[in-house]
Amino acid sequence: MQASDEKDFVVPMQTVSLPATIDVLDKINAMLESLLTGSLEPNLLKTQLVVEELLANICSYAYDGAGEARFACGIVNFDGKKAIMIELTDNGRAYDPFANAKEPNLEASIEEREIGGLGLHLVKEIATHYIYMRIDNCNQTQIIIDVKA
Amino acid sequence: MQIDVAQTDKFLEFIIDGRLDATTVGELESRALEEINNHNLAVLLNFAKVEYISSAGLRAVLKIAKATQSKKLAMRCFALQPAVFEVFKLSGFSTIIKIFDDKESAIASL
Repeated sequence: MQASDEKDFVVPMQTVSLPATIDVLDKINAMLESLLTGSLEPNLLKTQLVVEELLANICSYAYDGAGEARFACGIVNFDGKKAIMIELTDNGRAYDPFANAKEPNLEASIEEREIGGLGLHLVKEIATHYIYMRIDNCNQTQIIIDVKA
Repeated sequence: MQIDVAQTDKFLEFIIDGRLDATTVGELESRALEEINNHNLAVLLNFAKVEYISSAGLRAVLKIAKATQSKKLAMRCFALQPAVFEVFKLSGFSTIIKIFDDKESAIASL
């Protein structure tokens, strides 16, 4: 991809720091709505889903009391293709959501099916790439979602 | 989010209007479980006006499914939008929950 082409679609990451509570979801959803407009709009709902699941995870596991979550989103050139990049960071206890996620039993009946455990399964299914890093005493999860052509 | 309940002598229909996410789902869950507890009627979940569902929403659907099953009542979902159906599919819910295109076919299956 030529640098001049790249310039046409790259949207620099916008970052916001918010309390680590699920109530901030509306604010994050609004950010994603203004980022994913026009031809990117068909990717909005699945991106909001990934972000909600990761945020819910931070709200449940990162802190004992109040804490903060940093959310960033942008459009990047990933392997020469347009992609949505999402980053969630918290400075709570070390926690790798992907290492700890138990795979749900998708074959189980209604009675056997456990309540919960689906969020990170959905993130893994929807994300093109996902990575967890522990850096500077923070948990950071980065997600790449290929843009649907 | 808004939830309206329509009742006939055969079923309770929950008409869900809005996003089923972690901030809204409690309303559906408490309302539906209370109604199921108070009636012995089949349950229909009308998804026509639901554009978004997360795992929190799926948890509520599963709890409703378990509650109806334990009372040996039928539960049907219908009119799922494509994005919502996709989440049901990715979660394996499309094989354990009975899903119909529209209300008529959901009722016909009771």
